[in-house]
Amino acid sequence: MAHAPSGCLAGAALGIVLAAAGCALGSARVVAAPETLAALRGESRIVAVHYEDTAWTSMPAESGKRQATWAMVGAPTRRIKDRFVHGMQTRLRPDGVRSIPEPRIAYLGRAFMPEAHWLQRTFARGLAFDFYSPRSLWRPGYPVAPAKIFARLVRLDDLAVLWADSCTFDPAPFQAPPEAARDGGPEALYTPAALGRADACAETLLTSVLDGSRR
Amino acid sequence: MRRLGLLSAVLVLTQGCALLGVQAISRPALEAGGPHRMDDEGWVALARARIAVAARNDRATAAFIGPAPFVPLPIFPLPPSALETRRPEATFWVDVAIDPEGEDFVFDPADVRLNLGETADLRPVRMRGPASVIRGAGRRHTSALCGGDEAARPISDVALTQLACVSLEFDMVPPAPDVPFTVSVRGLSDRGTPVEVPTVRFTKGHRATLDALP
Repeated sequence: MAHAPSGCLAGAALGIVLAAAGCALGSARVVAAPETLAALRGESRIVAVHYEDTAWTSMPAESGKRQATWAMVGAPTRRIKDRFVHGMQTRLRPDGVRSIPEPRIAYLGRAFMPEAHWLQRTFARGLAFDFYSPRSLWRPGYPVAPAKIFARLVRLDDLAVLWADSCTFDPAPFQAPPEAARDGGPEALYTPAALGRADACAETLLTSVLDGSRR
Repeated sequence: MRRLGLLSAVLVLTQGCALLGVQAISRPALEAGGPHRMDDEGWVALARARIAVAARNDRATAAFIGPAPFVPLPIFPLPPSALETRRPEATFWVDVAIDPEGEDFVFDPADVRLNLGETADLRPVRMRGPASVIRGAGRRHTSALCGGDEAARPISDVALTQLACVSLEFDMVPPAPDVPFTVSVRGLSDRGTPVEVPTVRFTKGHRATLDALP
């Protein structure tokens, strides 16, 4: 599939709009009720998924170009999900959450958030944590936008959102050129310090779901 | 006369233009009388899955532009190539979108066959995906089903746990839309059991699009 440069720019522009819209609209917070914590302790089918954290770049895969001039990147959703699940296993249930390694494709619906019914179609029943981060545009020499990750707990029987929260952190400065993100995802751009801030987001989200009902 | 021309130009510039495009496409369908049905968006319902197949051989056949003061009036012809935003593919790509239920579907694209005229049983040589499926308004101008722009790679099995799309490359120049052909999607299995997919027949169709220009 060949992409004309105008297509790339259009895609980038669309991405910016989606990212902005995602930041603006997808931030509804749902505090976990005591029953939610009880469900997390008792439910036998809990999965955790992340949406694609690969990056888009200005360099189409088969363009023959080696350098990209920009990249669309978000938070490293896989890393944050894995840290979150590890924390959940440590603090709540040692074997209670199945972490799905394959990324999900984000089909955005209301409030520019991934449509949860696709989770229901795959996993049918139980509870599902999902981790989604809108991408934002980065060009070398320009400031790096804050990274934001949205997390939800969805009851698959009726698609009720039992908990939702978000976390924002500073991913700057990026340590690699945009093309590094093409195969390596956002983590290829992040410095160790920025990855540490991403990990702190996982802890923030974990605290939110486990302690939210006490606040 | 000059004033009229100026007035026309001002109308066009201040009220926008309309662009009408006509594409020749290969439209998918199923054999009549079979047990399966294809919906208006090209999806065929199977046991625990849906599948759609699309051919990437769209060709712009006509284009018109004109003012849109109150109603669109695309009356001035343009060369059809004005609507082509991508360079023509050297090989023929067919997109297969699969919407599985559950986590146990596997798709082996090596078993897909393209049958075109005297050319029997062409098999794909490379693939892309799984990628996202283009839906809704994104398909207004294209028959393509698969999003993404990852590099082509050798054919291999794909585990499918979500709505996803695989593009298959056939080693031939894309056929003109008026050339009929069929695609047989084999190699789909659910929990190890082969899933029967009806052969999809492609025949010439048209798509018209009307766009507003600033």
